[in-house]
Amino acid sequence: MRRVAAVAGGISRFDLPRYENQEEMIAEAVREILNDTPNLSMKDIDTMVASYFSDHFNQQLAQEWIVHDYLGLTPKPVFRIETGGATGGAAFRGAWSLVASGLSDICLVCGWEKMSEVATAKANEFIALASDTDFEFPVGGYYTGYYAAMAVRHMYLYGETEEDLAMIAVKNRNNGLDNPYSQWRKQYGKKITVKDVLNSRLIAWPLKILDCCLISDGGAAVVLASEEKAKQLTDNPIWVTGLGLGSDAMRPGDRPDNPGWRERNPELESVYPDHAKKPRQPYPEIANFGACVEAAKQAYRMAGVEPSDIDVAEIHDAYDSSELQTYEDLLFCKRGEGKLLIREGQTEIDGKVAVNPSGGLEGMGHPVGATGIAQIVEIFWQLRQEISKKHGTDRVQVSNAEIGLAHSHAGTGTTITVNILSR
Amino acid sequence: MIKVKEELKPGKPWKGWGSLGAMDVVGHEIVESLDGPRLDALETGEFMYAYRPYDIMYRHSYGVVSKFFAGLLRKKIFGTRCPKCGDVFCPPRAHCWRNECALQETESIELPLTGVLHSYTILGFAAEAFLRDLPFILAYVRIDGANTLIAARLREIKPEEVECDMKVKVEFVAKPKGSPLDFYFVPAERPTSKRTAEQRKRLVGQLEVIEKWVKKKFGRK
Repeated sequence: MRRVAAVAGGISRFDLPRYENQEEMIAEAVREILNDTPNLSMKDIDTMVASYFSDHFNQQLAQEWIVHDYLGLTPKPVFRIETGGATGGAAFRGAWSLVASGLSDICLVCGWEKMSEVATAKANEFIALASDTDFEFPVGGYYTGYYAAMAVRHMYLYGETEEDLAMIAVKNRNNGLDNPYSQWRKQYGKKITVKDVLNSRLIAWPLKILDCCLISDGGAAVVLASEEKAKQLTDNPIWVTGLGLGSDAMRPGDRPDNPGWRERNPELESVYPDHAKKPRQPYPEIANFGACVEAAKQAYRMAGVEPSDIDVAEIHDAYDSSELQTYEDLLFCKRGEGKLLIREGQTEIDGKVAVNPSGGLEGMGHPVGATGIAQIVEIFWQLRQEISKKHGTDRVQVSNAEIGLAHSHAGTGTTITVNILSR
Repeated sequence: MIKVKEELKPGKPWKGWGSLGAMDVVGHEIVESLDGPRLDALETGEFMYAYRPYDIMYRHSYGVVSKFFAGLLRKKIFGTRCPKCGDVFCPPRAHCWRNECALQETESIELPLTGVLHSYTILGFAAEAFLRDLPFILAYVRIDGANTLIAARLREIKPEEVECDMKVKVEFVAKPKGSPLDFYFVPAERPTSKRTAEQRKRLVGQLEVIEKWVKKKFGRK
């Protein structure tokens, strides 16, 4: 297989609403790419992979056709990859496969979502249709509720508090405050504290509104190229060195005894407290994300790195609770010790591994199909030391970042991708 | 049995909401606003919003495991069991999940009306369709003997008193209609919540806010 590099990235800012259409937002993100990459012209792009999650938000199917045509890419290949919230990470994986295999030399991945056309409760309802509509949705289930129940079990097992979760929300939202692509900066624009989070409106205990990500419109795009083309296009390519994708049962309720997890992670299964009723598969059960460990192990192995080698990570913090669980599932720490990472400041910009310097889904926004692509773009800029140029300040630039990780997460942890990039 | 009204069947002309499928514009709004790719590059533009309603009726088959839903009509909980490995599924599966069982077809079994609460959440917000039910407890319960958890509501307990691993019982609504809302859980024991007095106070305060919000929005409760 051929080496694959990211050569350019662009973002059309996240907000609610963006008045522009998906194709107009993507055109802006691609214009940013063209501005940054004088050697690249639209003619050079031989394939487009589309990343968007739902047809429901704006009642338009096959949006990839609209965007691809709008960019002037006909009659070149285009197709869509969709895996719920991990759509961006999976589309990136698909595009990597095309370039690595030789099917494409220069591949454009475009991600977007327009979620603003319906009320917030309706948008949540549409997202909830990606849970089981026979058994979960009809009893009043929706995603914040599922994540809350998974967080409650984790808190019951390992004892973190609402304050621990709040510290993650504070970190991410405050990180996003000078990001010019950030919805949070536009909508709120000032620092928050743990107390603000604790006192915000209850959504699904233990999650309050400030523990949750934003509903957004927005777009992002990244260009992947073969080694030969990458070197023609830029002096500073960022190599895609590791890719992983894991999966788990759609319904969290199908996990605690699931035979698929038998003997896969004994080191994680053994960390199970005596006070709790122990299921047949103590890891991940519903307290952790097994799909993440699966994806992470694949990606670390492929890249030839250890979790401790990661300098900067963009983690899918749809909820701060899931960021905490994910610290453990990315093997940044032992199971049950995610709370120590945030308490000790290890995931701040100057910590052991900077997590979500962009602001993440809470501090930047979460237009689903754009999210995973924007994560890659922010990591790309981090590794090229371009945050100062892009954000207008180097406050969240991780100095000397060599290896970055993007974590894209879907369903209740049903599809999870981990992609590793290196300078 | 609740008969489906003729006018609700697919292909029949729907009354009221059913006529909303044409993306007909029922109103519009012209908005002058700033937009652009970066917060430091915004320009004023004029945008038009069209208000376009859309609604749908689905005729949905519950599949081979329809017996679960038919069982609810008789106030019973049916799961399925793999005759090869013995795993018990509730929610039911028509085929076994274990690779070694090679998609073995399962058999239906009646399950006891008792279980254990694996985890839960107290909802203060919901999908649009459920906003008026707030606040309520969403529970993941292992029905005794099952190898899976099933989601349902937990009632007859103060939210601040709920705790994982507590024993619960199944109860049914007076008039089941073949929906998973036909059954719910109630406590079978008084749990000892791990919440501190301060955590309990904060939660109770938050729930009062939600109750007021629902009352204001829907004028009841």
